[in-house]
Amino acid sequence: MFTLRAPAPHASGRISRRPGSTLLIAAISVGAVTLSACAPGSTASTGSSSAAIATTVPSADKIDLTMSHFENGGNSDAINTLIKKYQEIHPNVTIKATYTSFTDYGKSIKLTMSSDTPPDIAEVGQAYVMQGPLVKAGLLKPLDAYAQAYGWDTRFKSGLLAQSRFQPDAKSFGSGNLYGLALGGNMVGIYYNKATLAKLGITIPFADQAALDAALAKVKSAGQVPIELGNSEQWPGNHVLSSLIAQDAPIDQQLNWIYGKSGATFSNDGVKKATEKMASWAKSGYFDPSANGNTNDDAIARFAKGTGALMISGNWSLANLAKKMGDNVGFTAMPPAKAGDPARATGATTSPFAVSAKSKHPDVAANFIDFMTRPEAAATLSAGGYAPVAPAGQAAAPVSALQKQFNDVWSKVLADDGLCLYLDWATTSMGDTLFPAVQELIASKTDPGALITAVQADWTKAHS
Amino acid sequence: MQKGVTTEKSQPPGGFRDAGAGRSGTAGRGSPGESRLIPYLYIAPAFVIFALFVLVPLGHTVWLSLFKWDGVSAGEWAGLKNYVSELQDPALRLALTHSMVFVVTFCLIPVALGLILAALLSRRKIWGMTVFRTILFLPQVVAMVVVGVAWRWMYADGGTVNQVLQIFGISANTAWLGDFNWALPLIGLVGTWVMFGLCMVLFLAGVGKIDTELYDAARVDGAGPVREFFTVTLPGLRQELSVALTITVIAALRSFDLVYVTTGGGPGKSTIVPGTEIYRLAFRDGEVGAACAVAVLLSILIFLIVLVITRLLREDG
Repeated sequence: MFTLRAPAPHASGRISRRPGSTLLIAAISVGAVTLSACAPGSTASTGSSSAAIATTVPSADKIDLTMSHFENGGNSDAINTLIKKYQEIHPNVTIKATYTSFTDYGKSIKLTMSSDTPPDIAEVGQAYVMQGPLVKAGLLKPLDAYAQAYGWDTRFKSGLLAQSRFQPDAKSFGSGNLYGLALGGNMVGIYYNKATLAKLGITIPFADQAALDAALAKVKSAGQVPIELGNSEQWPGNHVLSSLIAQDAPIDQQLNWIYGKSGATFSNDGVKKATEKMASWAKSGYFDPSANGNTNDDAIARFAKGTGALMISGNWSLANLAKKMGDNVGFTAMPPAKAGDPARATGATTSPFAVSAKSKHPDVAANFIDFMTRPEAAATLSAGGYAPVAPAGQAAAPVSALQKQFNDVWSKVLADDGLCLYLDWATTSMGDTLFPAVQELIASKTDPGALITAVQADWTKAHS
Repeated sequence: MQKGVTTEKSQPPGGFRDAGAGRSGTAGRGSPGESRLIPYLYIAPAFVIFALFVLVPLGHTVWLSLFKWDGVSAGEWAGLKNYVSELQDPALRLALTHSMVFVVTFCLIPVALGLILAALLSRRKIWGMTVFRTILFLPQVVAMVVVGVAWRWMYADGGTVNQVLQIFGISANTAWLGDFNWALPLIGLVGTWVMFGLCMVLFLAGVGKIDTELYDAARVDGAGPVREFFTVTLPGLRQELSVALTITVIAALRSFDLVYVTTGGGPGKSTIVPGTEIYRLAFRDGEVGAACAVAVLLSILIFLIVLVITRLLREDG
């Protein structure tokens, strides 16, 4: 099964080991019930990030690096190819990559990184679910010195690096130390059924929101489902809402809110307009009536069979749709509020790769991360299905027609530094507040005002 | 040292050794220290494992519930704050309300159905009984996650349930688990399906144990099927009833897997239960302390309810 990366941190289960089990075993092996003396967890080590760094790989010593990630399929192949190339350049370095499925990865990453022998390099998702607790516990190495030495800030748009930055107290992110670098990106847009749109005389791309609204009304009056959606996992519907917000609210406002800047609020005109638009779509019957009962995979299957003229989803659905629909599926951007507005989209980089604070070879680890994100690596990454984040070196690899359409939109959004990230990154509990509310919005069980109030209350509680 | 007991040095203070009328004398012979330790030695192997894997984790959960802890960094002592805030959380109250619905569908309905069937089947011998019993017991054998996935398909908009309704001329296109009103009772119904066979098998075994002379006597005295059920069958099934109620009520209150694979608590919050709340707090929101507090509260609740059940249905009650 396809594993969702950052966009759906709440989509899959992450139960397995009791989080305190190591502590528990430790307590027993000491043979004492002296628990009353110790609080759970480890205290943050005092970071020594200012130590001198090196950008060269020593060629004399034999160096073994370990790396944990949850990339599978083509993505994983790309990483393995890059490892092989790197080892050819540096024969004394061995990199051992370990794959864990995303479902299990999220549950175990905190334990893995706080163990005595953590991997040197680990894929650590942005925001509060993975990165936050690890930063707070002092388990990740700040990479700012490397960023400066390797010139990462000129290689990437500032918005791309900002999402991997964290404040040391882990109370807010988007600024502060840099804790990782990503290989690719993900983004939400509109998939469309070419045959259906052609039959109804609807043209792509949509110039503005009015054009999209007109198209939806046309599909509905033709007796068909305008938007296919499977939302029983609760997160897919949120991407419809956040894509609308991305067009209607200024990007700074959205990012400040997600990053937890004081004074930011969800209760602004753009969000209101977008939420009301989505509520009106629900009331007009634009969504598949079974949306809340079907999964995202169900929706993909139905869309492939012809239900729904459009499907609003991210590139995590791309390979599946291309396989099922062949040439009959296309991808286009969520249109801006006004034609000519800068390109904005719900999206982010994939989960960045971080360096463990306990790594014995942080310089080599950082050197390899740099290697994976250099323009020269872009062709390998595209071939593995990544939407490359570095502006240079994108074109190279041969990709499917659908992937090419996606990459075109992606490049435009990157050029305008217009990734608006994911709303549930705003607080640890935001997914659990926002997603059920969106389900209610789709079923017309709540109104936009109540949704915005509940979401902002969660934010205020977390950032007070 | 008390006056008058100095003659028998080995006797422990208090002199209760011969006080119990029904107490066997043999256990008291020999060294008193040994006689008291030996029974503990017998249960020691099981107890050590029980303590290590049940009591210690339980104590640890209680301990963690007193901290504000994200699972990694140092926990912060919170005292009873987690309990106070969780008890005030409307989401937890909502989850408990849903649990009560599950108590009806996982526990009361299956027990009632099981009793009725047992009463009917006890009156005459039915050919192929073993087959029926096996079929009805089958849901118990299947893992709950599999049950959940199967029923999710059946409740889908193109699923079996709607196809069956179609036969009766009702054309429904509802994705039942996506419906705010239907999702909860329909998940509950799955619980009925799973638990009912267990109850019936338990009760049938119990009925077989009841002396048939009691039935004959009741019939001779002119008891109809209803009277017979209340005077013979039901009192005879007291123990089985207690077991069935205990098992099903626990299943109802701690349910997690079924909800998790069918709706995950949705749509909206219409099917959240304490189990999903614990999961959410511990593994998504990073509030391990609060999750432990809810787990402790749930354990206490289950313990109290089971205590009431066993008290009410005690053999000598």
